[in-house]
Amino acid sequence: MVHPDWLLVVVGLLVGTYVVRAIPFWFSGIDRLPAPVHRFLELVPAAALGALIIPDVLFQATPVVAISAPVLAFVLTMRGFNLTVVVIVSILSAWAGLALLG
Amino acid sequence: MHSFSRGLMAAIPIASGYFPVAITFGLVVRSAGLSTLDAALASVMVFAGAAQFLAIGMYVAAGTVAGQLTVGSLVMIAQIVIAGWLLNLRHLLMSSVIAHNLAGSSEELGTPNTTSGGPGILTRSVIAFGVTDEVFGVAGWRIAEGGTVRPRYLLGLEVGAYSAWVGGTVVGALSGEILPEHLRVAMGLALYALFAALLAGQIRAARRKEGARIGPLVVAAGSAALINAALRVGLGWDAGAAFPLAMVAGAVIAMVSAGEARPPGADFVEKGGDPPAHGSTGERAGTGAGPRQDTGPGETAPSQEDTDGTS
Repeated sequence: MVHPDWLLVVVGLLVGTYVVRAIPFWFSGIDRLPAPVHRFLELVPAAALGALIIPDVLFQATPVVAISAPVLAFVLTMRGFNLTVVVIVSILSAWAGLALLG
Repeated sequence: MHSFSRGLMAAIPIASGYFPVAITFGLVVRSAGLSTLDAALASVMVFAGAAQFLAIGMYVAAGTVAGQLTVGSLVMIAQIVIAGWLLNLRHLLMSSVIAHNLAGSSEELGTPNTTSGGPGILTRSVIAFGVTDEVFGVAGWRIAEGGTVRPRYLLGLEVGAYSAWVGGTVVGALSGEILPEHLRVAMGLALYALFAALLAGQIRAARRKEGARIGPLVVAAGSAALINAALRVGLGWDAGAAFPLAMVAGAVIAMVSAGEARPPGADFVEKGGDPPAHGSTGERAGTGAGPRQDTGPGETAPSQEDTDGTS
């Protein structure tokens, strides 16, 4: 079954995301964005990721494990491991941590 | 080999990266009290990993009873949609690079897609749906290699990535019940690990680019995190109100602290290239404002696996 509130979220995201992706394919004048706008759009994902992690990760049931997971993932990615490996290692180490502490 | 098949083959590294992440998404959606169909619908219709995770994260943080439509939940829905839209605005950049380098378009003169040989509006509209960060990574690499990218190659690439994303979501949502409790919680925590990995991937990508700086990325992430924490914990704001503000403020603070006032010549960014490296020649030299960290020539070429586009 589909929950109506979630369906509205999904439809809203669909419209917002698709329009942003499609505009440059529909209109040719959009290829030149002012440099500050360009820079802002490049920085928004980093800002979003920071705010997605903190403070929520501190509110989790086993905070030590919850905080270790993103720290580990960050270090592994910086060292060049690919996303699949990082996600799997994070899940397994968090699982081990919860089994020991939870 | 046919262009479509080549695109499909090129999607394999993307697909293997998407699959476990999509499984996590499916699990997180189920643990929020939503259904497998809810999870699948999100991946089928949106196809934007970060925004989908953001949405389910905000949905959980809002703490509303799943499925109830009240005035409060309408406000929450609007907040999630706005935050997701802000996050996906970056695809405007990626789509414009791809749109202007599609094979068959008169890509050099800025009037693509209108020439008779170019892909039609329907093909372009379909291609647009599948422009994700990772698809852009591979397509951008093709463009750098060959000057253009074929629409069929792109379609193959996108179909491969999309199948893994939707398939992984369904597998994750269905497997939610059979997994042990600790593992399910661990997979929920993987959400934060994923966000941290994506952030690290951005920093690595910026470090590779000639003339790019990682300082602003770190400032953006750090200040957004601090602002979000201050609003949520300090002022008791809910996630939906705090998040978009923290996100925009973090990006603006990073711009200001890096001294974004560029000379007029740098006002417009060339299409197709790696914009921050060009344009403002002479300006980068001595303006050591704030946390800017120019990459030293010795560390610009980390290793060979960096071109796979899955970071």
